Amino acid sequence: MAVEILMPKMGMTMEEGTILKWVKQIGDEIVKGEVVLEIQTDKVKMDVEAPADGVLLKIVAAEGSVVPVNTPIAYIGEAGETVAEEEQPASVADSSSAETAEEVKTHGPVKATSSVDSEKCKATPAAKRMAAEKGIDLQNITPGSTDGMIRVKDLDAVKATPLAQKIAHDQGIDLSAVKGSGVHGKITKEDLLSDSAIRSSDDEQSSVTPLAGLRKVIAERMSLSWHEAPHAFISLEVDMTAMANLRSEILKDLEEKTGNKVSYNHLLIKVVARALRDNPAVNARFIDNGIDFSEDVNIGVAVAAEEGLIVPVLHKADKLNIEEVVLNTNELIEKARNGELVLKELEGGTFTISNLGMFGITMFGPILNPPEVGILGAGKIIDSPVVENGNIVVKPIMTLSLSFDHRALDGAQASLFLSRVRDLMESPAKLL
Amino acid sequence: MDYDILVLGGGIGGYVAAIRAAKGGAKVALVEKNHIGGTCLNYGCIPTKSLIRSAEVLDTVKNASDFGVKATGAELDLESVIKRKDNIVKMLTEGVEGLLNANQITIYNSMGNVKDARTVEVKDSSGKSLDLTTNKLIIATGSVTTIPNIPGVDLPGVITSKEVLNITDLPEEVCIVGGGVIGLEFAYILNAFGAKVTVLELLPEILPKAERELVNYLLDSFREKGISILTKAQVNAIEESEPGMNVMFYHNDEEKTLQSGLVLMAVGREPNLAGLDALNLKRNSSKGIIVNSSMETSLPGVYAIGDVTGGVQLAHVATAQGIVAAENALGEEAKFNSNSIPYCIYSKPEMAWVGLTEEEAKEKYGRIKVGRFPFTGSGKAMVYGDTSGLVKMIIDEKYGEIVGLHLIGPEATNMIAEGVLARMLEATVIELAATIHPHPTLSEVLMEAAHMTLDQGIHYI
Repeated sequence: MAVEILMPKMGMTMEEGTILKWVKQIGDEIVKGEVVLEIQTDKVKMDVEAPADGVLLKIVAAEGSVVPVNTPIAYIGEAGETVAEEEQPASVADSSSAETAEEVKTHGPVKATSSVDSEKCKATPAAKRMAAEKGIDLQNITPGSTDGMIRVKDLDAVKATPLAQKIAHDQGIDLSAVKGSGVHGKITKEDLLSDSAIRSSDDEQSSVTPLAGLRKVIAERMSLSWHEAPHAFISLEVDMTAMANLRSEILKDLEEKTGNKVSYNHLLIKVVARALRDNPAVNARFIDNGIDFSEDVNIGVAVAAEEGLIVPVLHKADKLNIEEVVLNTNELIEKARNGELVLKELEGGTFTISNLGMFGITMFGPILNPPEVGILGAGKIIDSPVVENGNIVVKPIMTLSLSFDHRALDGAQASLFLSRVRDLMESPAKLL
Repeated sequence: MDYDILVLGGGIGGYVAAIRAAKGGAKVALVEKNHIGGTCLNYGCIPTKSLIRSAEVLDTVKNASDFGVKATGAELDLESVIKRKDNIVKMLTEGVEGLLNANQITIYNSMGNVKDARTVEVKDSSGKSLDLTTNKLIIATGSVTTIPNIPGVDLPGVITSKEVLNITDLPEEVCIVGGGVIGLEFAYILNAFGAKVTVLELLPEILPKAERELVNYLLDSFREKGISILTKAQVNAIEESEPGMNVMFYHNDEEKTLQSGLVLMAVGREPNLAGLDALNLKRNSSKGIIVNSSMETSLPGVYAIGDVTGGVQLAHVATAQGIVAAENALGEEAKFNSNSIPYCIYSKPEMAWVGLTEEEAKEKYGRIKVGRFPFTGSGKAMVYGDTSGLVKMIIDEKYGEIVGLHLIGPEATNMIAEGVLARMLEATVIELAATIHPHPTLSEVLMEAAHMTLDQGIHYI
């Protein structure tokens, strides 16, 4: 019996993976544990190892294919063995691999020859199962994402007549944005025509870049966060004089030790880690309508990579000395920019820091990185006039903005946390 | 206020509206001057179909030998036919009254004279005038037969569809003025009952809004039965002669005379506006009360439904509109959708359709596809003993929308419901073709026509 190689599920949120490269080819001898192919999840590149010894008998998903998790993508067996038909996957999601991938056709005794031809459907196994349970014809479902893969959420969302679904699919209309006028709000053809009439006025569909890859992930996560978590925003100003002094005192010493320059961001991480330890209400995750107060303080650091925002996580940040903070953070940022992060380095965050100071931004309201309940936005340090003992003096001021999930914590707790951060930054001796 | 909702007129639109309103928790009154059930139950849909059924049975018995059944001496007993019809009407109207009572709707058996949008004057059982006040008013007064202004229309031998239902003495020759649905159905009935029927239609075409191909099929079949149908025939006068009457008309620029024992006036029906003058409602060119898609008139809180709106004069349209009006009067939101109204002709062959004709579809959609499936391809039609007719399906080529569905043949009127549902739910030809139809049934012709439309015909080349 041939052994399947499945598209691995590498994390809770992973639904599919892209085949990047087949390292092994059909006929190659493989030892269990050897890397057979490389895949890309929605977060990182991964190697997939052979589950057994043998010969690579069959590859069912070509490079570039997007495949649902837990779907067979190749078979390993003895030399000369053939893979039985039923062992082949129910679905592989890519039209470019049509020759090797067997696609599921939704049935109906009729296959039209004209443009009303039945479409081949690509769907995740979960979507297929749900469709079968609910008696939904996948042919009538418009995929919600650009890769054409039908997912469970697409099934839930469907409230349109078959005709309206066909038109929407054909014209690339997002049904979730259309208000239905039919029975129980069902979307009818008429609804689409009035809706698409509005769209066609600018008639430049080709100029729209479809969401894909990291951009798509960011879009989904930010929408989810904004829709689900009631954001509240607070901010305050921090006198950075003490931080500046501290930095110049340790700068040289640390640079010699680590080869890295200590930045205000490093100091901020160190301070925030301590403040989180002191304010566990903020060091939490909102999960399944409950609050998970985290034992560890794992700080995500927002990094602007070429493809978009990526947030590697500095685990147990409160346990790290400043030296380690500098080294580990810099390593994570470097990996993030080179696309070398492993999944572990992207998961488990309990709080995020986003710093836009280098762009000259003084203040902003970041969106929460779900399921975290707090995110700190740090601005540029500006020499500002400050009234001190009745005199106007100039001081380096940084504005810190905290967005928090008001389901999980209230303004008082958030304020306590943020003023604790300020306190520590203005009197770093308290870190001891 | 005496009532939340008062419905004026107890026809199929009015009584349905009353029941829907009562089901929605409203205190409801129904005012009907004549019989509950209105034209549909008493003088229209139901009684005519009862006569048609008798005609069919007569036809079947006469042709019993085709089925291997010996039956001789079959003849029509017109009095019994009428009695059967009366019994059915009685059962139905009593049934409706029972429904109204069960829903605690107060029935006033009186003419209703509307004084203003909130007040309707009726007479109680003792003849005393009574002002009923209501929050919302639904006008469902229906229609009356149009009597054209022709010399001689008041002769005793000139009757309408109402009187003909009780005819027990059928003359040899009958002239029907008007070739619409009513005229055609009576042409079929009276021909089947043994009369020589001539239909005189003013317009150049019979059923101008129906699918031409099927109308021609119908007319051919009528002519085969011996029914004469003349178009562009304008009746000028009706005169008494011995025996019967002379119907004088222009046809092909010639003045002609037709001898007839009975003249049936079936030129159309017009809105019945009796008792509504005080409201001064806005009306359209066909005298109908203008309503919006919520069935509300120019007066807020006053709704009008069915024939009195001068729109499509069909019982099922009145029913649908009655429900919409009642829901809006209840404060719910409902809109009448006229996209998928089925039309039926209950002759033999039966004809039924929904949606656009081929010509209309071409104009509106540009690229369309047409599929046909004849009843000769249906096993059940053979068993049934009637393979006349066909299904014609018209789809929009791009998305497969079922733009029009036209049936002529056995049970066409029963089967059109599937097409109406398909259109209502916006099923495309793909769904219809993929729908499992029971075998053997006549309904399979719809699925077969869908296959044909997709160039995937199975039981037909």
